[in-house]
Amino acid sequence: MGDALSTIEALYFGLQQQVGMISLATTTQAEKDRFMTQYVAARTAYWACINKMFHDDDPQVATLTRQLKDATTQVSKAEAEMGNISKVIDNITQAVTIAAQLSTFAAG
Amino acid sequence: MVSINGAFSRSRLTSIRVFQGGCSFPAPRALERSFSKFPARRMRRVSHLLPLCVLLLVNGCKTSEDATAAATQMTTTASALVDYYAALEKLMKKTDELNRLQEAMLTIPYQQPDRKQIADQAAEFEKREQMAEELTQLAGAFTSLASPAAAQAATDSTTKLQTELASIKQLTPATDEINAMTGAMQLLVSAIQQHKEREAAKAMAATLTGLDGFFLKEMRANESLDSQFVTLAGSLATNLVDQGQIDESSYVQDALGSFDLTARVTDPGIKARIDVLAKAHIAARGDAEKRRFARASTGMEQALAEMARRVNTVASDKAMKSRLAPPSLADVAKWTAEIPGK
Repeated sequence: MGDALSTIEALYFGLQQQVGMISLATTTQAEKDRFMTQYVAARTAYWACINKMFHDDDPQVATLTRQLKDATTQVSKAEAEMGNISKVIDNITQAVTIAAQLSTFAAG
Repeated sequence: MVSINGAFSRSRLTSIRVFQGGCSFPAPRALERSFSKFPARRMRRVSHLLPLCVLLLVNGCKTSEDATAAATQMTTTASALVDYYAALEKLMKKTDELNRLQEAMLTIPYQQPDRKQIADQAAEFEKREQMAEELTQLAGAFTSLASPAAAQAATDSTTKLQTELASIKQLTPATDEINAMTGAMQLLVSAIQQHKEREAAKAMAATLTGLDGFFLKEMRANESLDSQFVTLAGSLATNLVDQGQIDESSYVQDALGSFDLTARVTDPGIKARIDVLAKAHIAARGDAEKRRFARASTGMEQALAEMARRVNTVASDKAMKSRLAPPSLADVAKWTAEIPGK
């Protein structure tokens, strides 16, 4: 398991730990649905990667991994503040989108 | 001399030794009787390895005790490997259950493809468990060199093992290690058919070295899978605490139990402070579980490496430094015994 999967793992495990708190923090059903969609996508990306293999020396994988690390850091910062739940979900959406992209590079 | 999960004493085994052809070694029937207290599945694994003692002993009386110890160690280690993979398979099934619970509690959808991916991973661990079982079968089958039927059985066993290996979907690229195992097994069958005991033992050692390498490559992925389970369980437990769905009374029972008093915590302030304690407890237990699994994985890998070295030592007619089962297997047993629901 290389750096790419470790990064997806960090995102998914982080969301797992915060799922209850973020669900409670949502103020509308639309926000809640939006968050849950991202949570499920993060879980799918994790399992897609754990069942497959990455070639970490692929430049595209390396770039996406770097982007995902940055995006996950932003998610953690936003979660810590938890001032604007909509912004938290935006950050999560950005990170999960990169994770989903990255998971397509995992070879079966 | 022999220790299987610490339950088998030296005196018990030595008391059933017989004299045969100038060498002293355990008589299979007597030895099987002595295992009668073991569960049927473990007994089957052990009995398959008994003829291995005979094969290794063929090399000469001076190493007979080493050979017996090596065979026993191989049995114990293979048995631990089966348990390790069985426990991981169980964790995957528990993961599926926890995701269903999360769906019920938090209305987070849990559908395809996630269900299938988790089921596929459980199936992968089942394949590895079968592979470990087949290795035990092979060790038993390759021993009765005089019998053409046994040589055929060894060939059949190897074919099954190769099929198991080919069906395994690698979590981490380990083609070299799998190829090494496959090649060593072919040499093993060839040596058995030609009645070359020493070469057979060397090929067995090479097979085990390949298995150790394969295991080592997957260790990080296995740890990730254990972590996701622990994190998910911790998340659900914390959520139940946050939702006021635990009985805080259980936390103060230690203080009251000695006085035959039963707790009834109702004060909101006390309940809130106990909830903080409960969440810290969940986090600490989760971290401890991850450390326990890491130690189990490391212990399993060390035992596989030691087993390969020991069989190689016997094949080279050298004296072994220790005849005890690898102590690191205790960490494996500790973890597998604590898997929820086991």
